[in-house]
Amino acid sequence: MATRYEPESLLPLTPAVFHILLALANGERHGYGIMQEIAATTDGQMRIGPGTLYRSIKQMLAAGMIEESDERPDPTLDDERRRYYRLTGFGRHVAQAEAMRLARLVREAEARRLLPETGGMPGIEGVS
Amino acid sequence: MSGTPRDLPWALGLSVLIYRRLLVAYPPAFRHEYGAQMVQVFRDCCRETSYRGGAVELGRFWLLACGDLIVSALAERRQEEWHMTRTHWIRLGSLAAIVGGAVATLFVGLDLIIAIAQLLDEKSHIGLALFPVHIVSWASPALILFYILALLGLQARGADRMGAVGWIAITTAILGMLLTELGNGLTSVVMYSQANGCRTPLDCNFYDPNHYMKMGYLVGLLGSMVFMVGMIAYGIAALRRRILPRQNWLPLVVGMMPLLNLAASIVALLVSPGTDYAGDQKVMIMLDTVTLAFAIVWILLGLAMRPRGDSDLPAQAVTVEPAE
Repeated sequence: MATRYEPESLLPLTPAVFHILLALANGERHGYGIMQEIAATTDGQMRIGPGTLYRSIKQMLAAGMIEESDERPDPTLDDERRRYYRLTGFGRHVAQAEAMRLARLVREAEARRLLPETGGMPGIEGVS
Repeated sequence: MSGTPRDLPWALGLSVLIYRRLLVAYPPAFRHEYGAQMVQVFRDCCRETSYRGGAVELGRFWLLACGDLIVSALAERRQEEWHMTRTHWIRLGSLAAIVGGAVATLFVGLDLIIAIAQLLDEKSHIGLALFPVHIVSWASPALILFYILALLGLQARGADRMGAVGWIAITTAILGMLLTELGNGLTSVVMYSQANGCRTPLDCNFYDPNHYMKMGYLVGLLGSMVFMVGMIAYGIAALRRRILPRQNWLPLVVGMMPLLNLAASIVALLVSPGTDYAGDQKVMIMLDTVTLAFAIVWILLGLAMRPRGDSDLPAQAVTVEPAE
């Protein structure tokens, strides 16, 4: 899908949008699948409701970051009414740009000794 | 207390029923597009949470879902309202630029024809030479309103990409336009009050002991400069940020037009108007040509701003905050 945006013009992304992009990075998913993936990757710390999820999806569709998929992983095992979403090339660029922005921030935090050298801070491991 | 899905079938059914009713909080278009999907996701979440933690966990999920619903419904309604308002301004601005440009083209075009006719035949309709004075007096204040609406529409079109820079630049341009109008108004009032005693607008000894005309000219010049600064700043930003689907150079051209007008005025002064009738008409033709070009640029800008269907309108920004 053609888009009129530069990836950097959409940064910084909101947490919900970035987590949805992350959830779709490994393949297409439906709404509930996205929520499960977000909960799994954040150990349940990040929970978004259906309203926030579909508002984000609506805006990401409009911005050309994701698109609806016509294919079903296994139609016999799934409700055909579910809509699946996948990343577009542009969405992947946006996710990369945001990841790089966050990585730069983490490096800044490291340089200012805000991060422990080896796992001293609870919940943060192996940031390098 | 925990349980299995079998323990709470009524709770699941009731939850879904209530949630489906609560979706009325969202705008109809959003509900129509995503309502069924949201209910499905809500049902899946209820099933999972009640399986994991029974009624307590289901209650916690309800709290999250209610907070999410309130925050996201309000935000969606606010955004839709803003989007509608913005769309309205874009359409209005586009129309204003086209109509304003067309009216100006008509008047200036007529004046150009008269000036050319009089250049070819000096004796024909001398009185018509004062036509531009009448135009400036009556059409200009109306045109300025059209152009201000056009600038507001332009800013609405590029609001998501121009941000504060756009507002500052466009406000400067509008203030410049108003100043120009004030100056031109002052000059034209003096000219209009004595127009009947003149041969042409350039060949006239106006009685102006208080120097209102000079004052008006200076205020007009200052206004043109302010407009130019604002509009050129806006035009450069618009060119870089590509606020229009096409012809992004047009705002910059609008900003540079006063320069052309100034150049034409300087040339007009250099050729000493008022000493030769044919020379006066040539100067009028030159000034009219510049004004005509300005009017045509406004029409082109209006056409470039004009949305071609809903898909051509600017997308809503990605600004969703999670309700946690």
